[in-house]
Parts: sequence; C-alpha cells; structure tokens
Amino acid sequence: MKRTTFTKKSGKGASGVVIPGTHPSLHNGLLLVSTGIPSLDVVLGGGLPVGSIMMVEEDLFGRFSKIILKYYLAEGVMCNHSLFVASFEDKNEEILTQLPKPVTKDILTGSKTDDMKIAFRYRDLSTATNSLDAPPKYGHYYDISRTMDKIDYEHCGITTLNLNKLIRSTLNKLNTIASDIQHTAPKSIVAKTKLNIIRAAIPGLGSPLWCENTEDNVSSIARFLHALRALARNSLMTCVVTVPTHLYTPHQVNVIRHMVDCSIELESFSKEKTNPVFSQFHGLIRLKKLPCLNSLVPFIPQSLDLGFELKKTKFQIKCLHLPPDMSDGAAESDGKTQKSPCDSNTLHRKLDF
Amino acid sequence: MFDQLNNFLGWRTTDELKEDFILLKDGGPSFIEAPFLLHHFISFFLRSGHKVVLASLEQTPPYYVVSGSKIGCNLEREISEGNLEVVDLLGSSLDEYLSLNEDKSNSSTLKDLYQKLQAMTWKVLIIDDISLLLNLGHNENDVINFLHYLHVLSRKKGGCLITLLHHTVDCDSALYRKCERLATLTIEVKGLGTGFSKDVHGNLSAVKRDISNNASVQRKTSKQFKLTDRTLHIFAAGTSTAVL
Repeated sequence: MKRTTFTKKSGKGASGVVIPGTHPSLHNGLLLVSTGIPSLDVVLGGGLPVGSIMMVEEDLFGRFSKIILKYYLAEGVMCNHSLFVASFEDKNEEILTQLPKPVTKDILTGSKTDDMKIAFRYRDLSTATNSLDAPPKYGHYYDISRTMDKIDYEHCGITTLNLNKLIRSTLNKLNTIASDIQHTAPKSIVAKTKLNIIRAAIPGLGSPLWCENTEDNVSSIARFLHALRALARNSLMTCVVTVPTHLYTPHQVNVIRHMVDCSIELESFSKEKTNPVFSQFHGLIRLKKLPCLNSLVPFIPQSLDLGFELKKTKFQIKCLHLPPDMSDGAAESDGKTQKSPCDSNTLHRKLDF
Repeated sequence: MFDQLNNFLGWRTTDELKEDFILLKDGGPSFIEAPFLLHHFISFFLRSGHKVVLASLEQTPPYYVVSGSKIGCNLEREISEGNLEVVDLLGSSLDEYLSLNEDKSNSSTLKDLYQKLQAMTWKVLIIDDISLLLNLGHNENDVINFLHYLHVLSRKKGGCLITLLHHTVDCDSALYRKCERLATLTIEVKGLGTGFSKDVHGNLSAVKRDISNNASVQRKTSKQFKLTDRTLHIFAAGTSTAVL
C-alpha cells in the first residue's frame, strides 16, 4: 500500500530525501512545516504537519487572522515553497506585496547578562520567560513594519486565483499544481527527485463575499474542505484557511471544524473594552482542535490558556497570566491622620509585606 | 487492541461474534474524541479472525495503517492476506468533486456505495463515519435508509456493523435516535465536564442491549480513561494515577 501521507523515514543516510523547509516531528514520525510564527509552532508540537488543513477562526474584523496568513506565506517564501493564494480580492498580488520582511539574526540575540559573580550556578540556565519561545531552528522572525521586496519573493512559484464564481475552481487549480511531479508524495523514496511543499492560503472562506451563511452553503463549504483534505493527504501540501466563524451558528461552526485538522480561534481586544487583566495582550487564542495525523493522541501543549501580542519583530504567543499586582496602598494618604498600625481599621492596609 | 478495553467490555478474541451493531459516539467536543476506538475494533476483529471491510470517509488508508501499527496490529499484512479491505471514500470524493459540473443527486452516490458494499464479502463492516455523510449534504432520510439497508445486509451475513457518530449530530435528530435504537452495544466517549485535563482524558461508558429481549438493557459503570500513544488506560472515576 502506498504511503501517501508522507512520513519521513528515519534515515540519516543518502536515502532520506530532504525537502527544504521541513523537519521531522519529535513526537511522531510526521513531517512538519513552520507556520511562520515560532511560538505557534511550539503550541502545535513543532509545526504544522504536511498534509493537514488548519483553520484560523477569525476575530471580529479579521485583523490578526490576516496577519497570521501573511506570516504563513512569508515563511513559505523563506523556505522556497510554492505558494497558492485564492481569494476574492481584486488584486491578489496585493497580499504578496504586504509580506513582512524577515528579521536578521543579530537583532534577536539580546545582550548577554553580565557574568554573575554570586549566582554563578544560574549562569547557564535560561532566563524564565512566560512566552513560548523556542530557539527558532526552523522558523523565522519577521518585522511586521517592513515588507518584502519583489526580488525577495520572485524566486518562489506563486499562483494566485481570483474567485468570482464557484469554489470548485479553487480546487481545480490547486489540483493541477499538486499533480506536478515535485509536489506529489512519493510512493517510494527516490533520492534524485526534487520535492517541494505547496503552501495554500485561502483567506475569508465562508465570508459574505463567498456565500451567505445558510445551511446549504455550510454543506458546500464542508464538501469543499473534505475534497481539499483528500488532496492535501495525497500530496505534499499544507493549507491554512481563515473562516469568519462568528457569522455562523455554533452547530454550523462545529460542522466546519469537523472537516479541518487543526483549528484555533482568535479573539482580539479593542482598546476601550479591554479587561484590565489582559492589558498586555492584543488578543486571546483558543485551541479548538489539534492535529492528530498518524497517531492516536494529538500533541497537547503545556498550557491551553494562551494569549498573543503583536510586536514589531515578533508575533508572540504567551500563556495567560495576571499582570503584576502593584498595590495601590502606598499612594494614598489623603490628609487622613496617621493611625497606629495596630488599629483595626488600618491593619489590612498598612501592614503589607 | 487495547487490553484494558477488552476487560472493560468483557470480551475475548476467542468469542463468537455476538454484537450486531456497535455504535461509538462522542459526548461533546474535546481534544480526544471517539475515533480512537475504531482502531481497537479493527485490530480486535482481525485478531479474532473475521474478515473486515473499512469504508473510510474521514481519513486516508495510511492513517489507519500507522495507527494500527502503534497498537500492535500489522494492517498492511492483513490487507495483503485479504483479511482487511479498505474502501477509500475520501480519495474518491476528490475525483467526484472535481468532475462534477453541478451537484448531481446525492442519493445515487449512496446507492452506488451500498451496491459496492453488497458485492463484497465481509463479516464486519466499519463505517468511519456516518455523521460525515450528513455534514456533506446528504439528505437525512437517505442516510437513514442507507444505514438500514446495511444493517439488514449485515444481519443476513451474520456479521457486525460498526459506526461512529460525531458530536455534530444533534441528539434529537432522527439519525441519532435510529442509531441508538439499532445498536446492541453503544460506547460513549465524553470529555470531563470541568474542561480538558492531561491526566484524565474523559469518561467512557457502555450500554449493552439485548435484541432478543427488548426490555433488557445492561449499563456498564462509567469509567475514566487516559489515552497514550500506545495504550488506553481505564480506571474507576477518581482513581487516576495522577490523583492517587
């Protein structure tokens, strides 16, 4: 039986075919690609498995889901993968002009802490961070304030598709790319063939531009995703779709979620209505479904309560935590007479260790 | 094959094929849902020596092969020996989708599938999963009829039918109620009410129903389980190794 879901053989020798931009998973035998956001890779257990479909459930205005998609495509450019973008925008090339520029390594390595004289035992330990920062062996950091120039991405095989009619045409086009010899999952490892990954990005699937949110359309989206899954499993492809799930009923969202392999939900905060507890985050990430290809149990990350923050050079996903509690007892005096600390009224305020 | 699950159900590989219709269902969305039980049943029935046909809508055949090898069952060898046959419906759905110009009537695809399954010889038929047919837009009545025909067919062959109901199927829907009615063994996998926990993945409960005597229903106590990559640990509620 042919192994169509590509699992990398554990060969260190010449028989192993190395596909650029991929790395084997530490937990199961799958081949993973980076999503473009290193902390998201940590959450998913190393990256997105080849052959899977990830759904990003959009936040209210789609701001951050678009940014995530840009990181995904930028990573594809850095790894020399073939890209495929299908959307309803008039000029698909626009999303390509907005890809973030990668950050060079020098900016990343912060200044080393001074040689510790007293606590020398702790010198070699890494500083405690709350963020899921893996040393990016496989991913890249991107500077969101600068964009890639055309020369940077010209070398990639990029296909864009402007959809005016049916969803079907997307799959047709994607199928023709996938049947290209360099993208099909090989039945047996032949050392000579050059293989490459297709990164497909479909923003706004199910948005009002595609279709109205009726039951019929939900099942047509489900059929599309089902066929897309078949295509992804049989070729070297990963796919990220963004769906505005807030427009659909919970039951319909469950149906769409069933059709994809991995799903994360974004909730972004608006400046006025933010809970002060979340002051340092730009939004929350909820994991709704984790990829479970080729294994019984999916990889479960350390913490399931995650929030994200978009900095200039990093899209950082952090475990949720409360901000440090700055006690405000020190500020108030307000002309009240000084009372002795043992007085029952002031006891809880003055004695603060 | 999960040994602890065999103990829980009281099954041995040497037993005769007692069950008629096994229903696996999800109690709600969770990271770990019912499909892992399918691998157990595939390897169990192969180990008992029955012929198995797997109609897979949810995943491609290599997924089952790799997952089967994790629990100690060499599915590739079983396929080459002819004990297991996999009908790859996921792969054929792509071809169907691309070749259609407009949606042709969905009920004819179910009829074709039924005729294909009728032509094969099998003792155990596993469908992964029947709720997916609803999500893909087939009419609920068509799916119920399809299930009914398959059930009659499996009774004629003296075999067993196993299927999975995903939690997207509403409890009040006709398909859900029909499956519950037909099932001689129902296994429900439900996540914990308090949220996801790494040590206790959920609750497992089984209901046996005697078809000859309609009034007799036997419920097994609900136990908690933890699924690792190789085995399934089943323990009484509150006795997880993390807690003790």
